[in-house]
Amino acid sequence: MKLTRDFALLTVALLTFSFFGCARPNKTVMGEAKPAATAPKADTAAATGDLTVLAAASLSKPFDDLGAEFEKQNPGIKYKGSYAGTQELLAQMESGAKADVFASASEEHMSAAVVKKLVREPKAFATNSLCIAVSPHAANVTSLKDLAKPGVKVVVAVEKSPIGKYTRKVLDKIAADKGFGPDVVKGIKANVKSEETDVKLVLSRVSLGEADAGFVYKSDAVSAGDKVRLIEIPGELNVTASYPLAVCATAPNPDPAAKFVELVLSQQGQDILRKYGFQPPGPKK
Amino acid sequence: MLILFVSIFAAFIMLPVVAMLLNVRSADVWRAAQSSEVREALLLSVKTSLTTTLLCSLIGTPVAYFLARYRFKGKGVFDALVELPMTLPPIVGGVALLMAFGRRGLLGQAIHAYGYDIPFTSLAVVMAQSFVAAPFFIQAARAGLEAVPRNLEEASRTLGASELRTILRISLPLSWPAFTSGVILCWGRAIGEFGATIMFAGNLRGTTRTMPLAILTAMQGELNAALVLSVVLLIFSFCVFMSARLLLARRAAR
Repeated sequence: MKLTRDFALLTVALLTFSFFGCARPNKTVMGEAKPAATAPKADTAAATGDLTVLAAASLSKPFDDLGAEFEKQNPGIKYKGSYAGTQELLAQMESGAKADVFASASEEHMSAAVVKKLVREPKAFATNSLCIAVSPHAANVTSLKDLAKPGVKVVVAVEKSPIGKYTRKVLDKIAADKGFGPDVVKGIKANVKSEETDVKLVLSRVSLGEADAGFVYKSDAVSAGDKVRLIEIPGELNVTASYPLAVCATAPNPDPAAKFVELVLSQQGQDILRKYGFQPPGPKK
Repeated sequence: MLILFVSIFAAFIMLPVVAMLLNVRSADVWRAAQSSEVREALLLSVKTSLTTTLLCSLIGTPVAYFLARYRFKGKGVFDALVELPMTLPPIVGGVALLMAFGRRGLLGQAIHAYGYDIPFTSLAVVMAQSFVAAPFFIQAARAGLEAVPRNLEEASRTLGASELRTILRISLPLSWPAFTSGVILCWGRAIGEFGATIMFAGNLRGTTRTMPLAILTAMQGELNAALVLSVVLLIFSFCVFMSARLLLARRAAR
């Protein structure tokens, strides 16, 4: 997450500061850091036995646990998790970021990675569904319909992110549903105050109380504990998010990478995922 | 020897810019510049950054004068405070603004009680830009004022002019070049502002999505779309910068 944000920041900073012949010394240092940001950890990963895992933002908590477990089982290898919106991770890999494992929040983004030959043989390892996270301060929001009330502040994710895509699918289903209809969706869309780049940012807007409600994964709402309230989205209006992971084609450390994939798929790995509200992978379509 | 250093610096700055320009097709840039989404972002960037520059100049000028002319206990701390936003990562600035002016923030709570919330508005964009850009104006203006010979000001006062009249007729005109460079620095920093804006103001088309945020949003899809937008902003900013410099050079020559 941090990496991508820094990269974006650097791009913008560099852009603007190109014109300041008199840019401050600290900005020059930032500029110099740019080449490193485009190809992170390329050399260090192979040399020191690091396992670099790029994983969807929603996976940050269970993957930190899985990484700790992996380090315990494989002494000498250091787990390095980098979490961001799946679409941002994909863009990083495309521009040459070296990683060992890629875990996506959607099959679509994984397929794109396969087509571009960035990964090998993806395996589904979990599913998730959507729900609405509500700020504890927003007493006036207790049902899905309330999101359409005037003055309610709603946050969603950008359309290019997996969670953003799922959110728009759910909204389409709500619009088509007899109990809700297009007017509810129109009201919800008018209440959208910001589009975030990943689900954790949606969640933090809600848990900080700046927004009243946001569309997130159920796992996020579950692991946020009492910082948010949860409104269920009925099954027929919900979508199933399927999570695949794969070893990267140019993995500096392919063997530990394969071991990590095994760990995630093992009973132990699945138990960790379950703890954070993820569901088992569905049957093959 | 001098030329060597200058060339190293020029190459360091120019190479990324050239690399970016080489990676986009001019037709794409032209098409992007005409799309309604980009126009909205550019317009918002222009409006907010101009407001920011105006606000920073209005409020920053007395502050710069104060810092340049008055000595008091704890001035060192106040100096550091003025410079603080320059050293702070803008994202941290955005979080700090949320803590102060957010709906649950220190002051934001009271404002919320009156039925108004600052985050997610264009005002929040201006505040984020001002937080980050104001020190650039103040430092430049202050340096200019400090360079004004004190005996000229004293002569003016001896001849019966008030402090305000002395400032307007002596101090400000003499430090004019420093003020203009402060204004340009401030505007440039404001139009490029990203981190504080996205944290404090959010990212919504037409309201808070300035060009840098539009670039980030485009980057979610494909790098090329983001590059095209970056080039649009680059060309725009470059034109504004060049015309400002030319205008000022002409004025200085008179």
